[in-house]
Amino acid sequence: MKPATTTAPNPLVLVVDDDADIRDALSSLFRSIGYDVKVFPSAADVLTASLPETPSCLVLDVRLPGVSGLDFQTQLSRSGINIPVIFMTGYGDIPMTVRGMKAGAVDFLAKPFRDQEMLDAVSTALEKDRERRALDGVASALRSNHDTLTPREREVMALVTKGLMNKQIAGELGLSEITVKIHRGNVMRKMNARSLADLVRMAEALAGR
Amino acid sequence: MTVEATDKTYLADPLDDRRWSRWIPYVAALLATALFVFDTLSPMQFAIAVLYVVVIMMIASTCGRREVIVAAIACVVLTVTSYVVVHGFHFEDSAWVRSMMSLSAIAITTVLALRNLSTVKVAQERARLLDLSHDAIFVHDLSGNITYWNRGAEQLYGWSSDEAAGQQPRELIRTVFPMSHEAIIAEIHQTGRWEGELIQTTRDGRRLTVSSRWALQRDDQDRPLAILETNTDVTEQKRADAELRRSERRYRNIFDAAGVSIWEQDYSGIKKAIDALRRDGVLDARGYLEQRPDEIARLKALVRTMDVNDATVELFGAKDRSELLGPISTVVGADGDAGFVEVIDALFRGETTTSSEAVLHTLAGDNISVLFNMRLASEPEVMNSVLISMTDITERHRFQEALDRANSELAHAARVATLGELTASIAHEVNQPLAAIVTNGEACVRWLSRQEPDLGEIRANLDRIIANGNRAAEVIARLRAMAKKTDPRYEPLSLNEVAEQAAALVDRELGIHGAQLTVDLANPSPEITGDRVQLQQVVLNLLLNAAQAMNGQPRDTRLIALRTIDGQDGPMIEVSDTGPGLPPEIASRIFEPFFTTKANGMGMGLSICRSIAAAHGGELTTVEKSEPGSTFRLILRNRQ
Repeated sequence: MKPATTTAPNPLVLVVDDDADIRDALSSLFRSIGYDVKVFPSAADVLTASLPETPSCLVLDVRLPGVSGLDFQTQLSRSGINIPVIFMTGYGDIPMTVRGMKAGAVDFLAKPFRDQEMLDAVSTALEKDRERRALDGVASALRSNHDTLTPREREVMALVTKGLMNKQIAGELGLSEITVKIHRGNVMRKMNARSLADLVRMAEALAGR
Repeated sequence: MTVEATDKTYLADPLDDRRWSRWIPYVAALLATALFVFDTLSPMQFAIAVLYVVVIMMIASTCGRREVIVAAIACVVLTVTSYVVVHGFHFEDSAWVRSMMSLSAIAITTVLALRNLSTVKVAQERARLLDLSHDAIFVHDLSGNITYWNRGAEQLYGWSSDEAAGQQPRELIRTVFPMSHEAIIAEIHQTGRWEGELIQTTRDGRRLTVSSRWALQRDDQDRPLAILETNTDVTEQKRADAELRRSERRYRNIFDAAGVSIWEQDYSGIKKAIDALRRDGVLDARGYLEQRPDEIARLKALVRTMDVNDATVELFGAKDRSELLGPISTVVGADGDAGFVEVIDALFRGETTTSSEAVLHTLAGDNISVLFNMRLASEPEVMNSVLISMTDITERHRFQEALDRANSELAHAARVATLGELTASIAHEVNQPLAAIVTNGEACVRWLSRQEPDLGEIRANLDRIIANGNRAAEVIARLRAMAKKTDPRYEPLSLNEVAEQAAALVDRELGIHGAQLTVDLANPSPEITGDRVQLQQVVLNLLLNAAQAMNGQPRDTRLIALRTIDGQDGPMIEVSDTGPGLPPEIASRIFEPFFTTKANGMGMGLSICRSIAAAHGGELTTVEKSEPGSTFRLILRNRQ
């Protein structure tokens, strides 16, 4: 719905369906509002394809020959690919919907669907992917900062973010209070933290991974 | 000479006379010499020369015409010589008169003897002719004694004419008369002839039946003289006649009493028509006629029913035979043409028998199905008597039809049940093109509402809409065919098409079961005759069974192979899976009704499939193969 800006790369919709007619129809629909589209007859073909680093989502038939759509979803998340998934089904049943939604599907559309439903679902999924990508950007900066810390500095950071005083940390680690202060200063600098609260949030984000 | 004497002469056996008759001319010559001497030397005043008459008669009795004339001249010469020697040339006294009397007597006797000779000759020839006859001819006089017995009689009865002469025929050959002997005699005296059959016995005791003709012989004064009996042996002919009559009666009895309907028909007109067809170069009468209903009608009109039996009258609801005689169009209508063509075809090929089925009309207007047997009864070269026997199989047909209908209904029920199992995949099959149509349509609208509508995209969308609409219609048509309840329709089919269409119906369902189907088709496709829907039903069942058999095993080992093969035993379809296979105790029962290995199965599928195969003249079996899994094979007949 939201026409992509010409400067940024177009969002990409990946369509997986064993039915060529459905693939072609969806491709045309998505292109008509300016998305890029890649179509695949099976899940295996998606895994071997090289995908650009651009907001994208996967529109997937739940019944696919070979690996089913649901199995494929599990496979993707297991291999750490967090692309949002929209399921289509010709004959949607409750257990499948539940499983798919639990596994984090953005939406579950029964064929035939209204184009608006599909486009809304895709738009939501793309937005989600964009956020995820942004989040992924922050998280990876945080992680690389964290990677620059020395082992001692990491210990200090962990204890600081637990809310311990410098004195307590010194006692815990068998260091002088001065040394702890230096480490703490390094941590704040290396992690680019503006305040203790900032650092605590970073620690939480790191732990959440 | 009297007629009686003539008769006696020809009746006497010439063989008896021969011994002494040879000497008669010499005796006559001697007598003539003695008379001459006596006439010349004797002083008696007596016409001694008259006795020359005896000489002439003796010669006449044994010799021919010429000898008689010679003897007569000799006698005249001797008489004249005697006169001249005794009296010189004096011709006035009584001696001259006596001499003239003697000469007159000689002349008269000669004339009479000559006339008699010719009569005797005729009589003898007549007697020889009678001997030539094959008939037994004999004469008995009025007292019943045999006076003549020809060679035919000797041969027939075994007695020679000597033995028969003087015997009474009633005793000798023990004649048995059809009426009293007196009546016969009375009739013959009245009319001069009698004819009838007699029973007589030969010398060796054989009893003969003879056809006898009696004629009464009369003398000049019309007095009865003797009876000429001419007998022809008809014993053998009588026996043959009786045998023929008995045989005819027997066949007539069989014909009338037979429980099956029998028609005797005249096909001689057909024979001519067939010859004409041959002359025109027709090689295949059936093929020729099947294209030409008019010709069939023309040929039908050439057949005449000559006779039918009681069973026929009853079967065809006729009041009597006559209603069924003549043209056969009363019972052979257009639906009887096929049977009629069978008969013509058999006759055309020179066969003398054939059997087939036909539908005929009764006079009451009902249709009956008959099994008929055609046989050329006599003179196959003219075909004037063709026997056609018929058994009414209408009831059997009705029964068979009811059975077929029940089978077809059962097959239909099973099909519908199978379709029920396929609901999920069927819904998908229909939904898929619908989804494509909707999405294409919506995309189309979006392309249209862009500032610069993209006509290429719009066109592609519309094309896809049309294609998907057709696709949905095809799915519906396939389903409707499967769900429809119709009588089996046997038509020429491509076996590959049957296999492919069945596979298309269950392809998605197989996918749901995680089974992978490979289709391997014979090239060229075997041609068969069959009911498309029922054959698809068999293939569909086999495919679903295969998929279900492999449910428990890893996905990548669930393989189904569908093959069409133009085999030696006929065209066939094989369905193999890579499942656990069939243990022998299950394989032996798998086609039994209500036998099932499925928790919610009814156990009718394979049983119905097998009866469908049987209805197609084919067979559904399991095949032992070395590789794991089971294989089912449907063998069909070749298209005729």
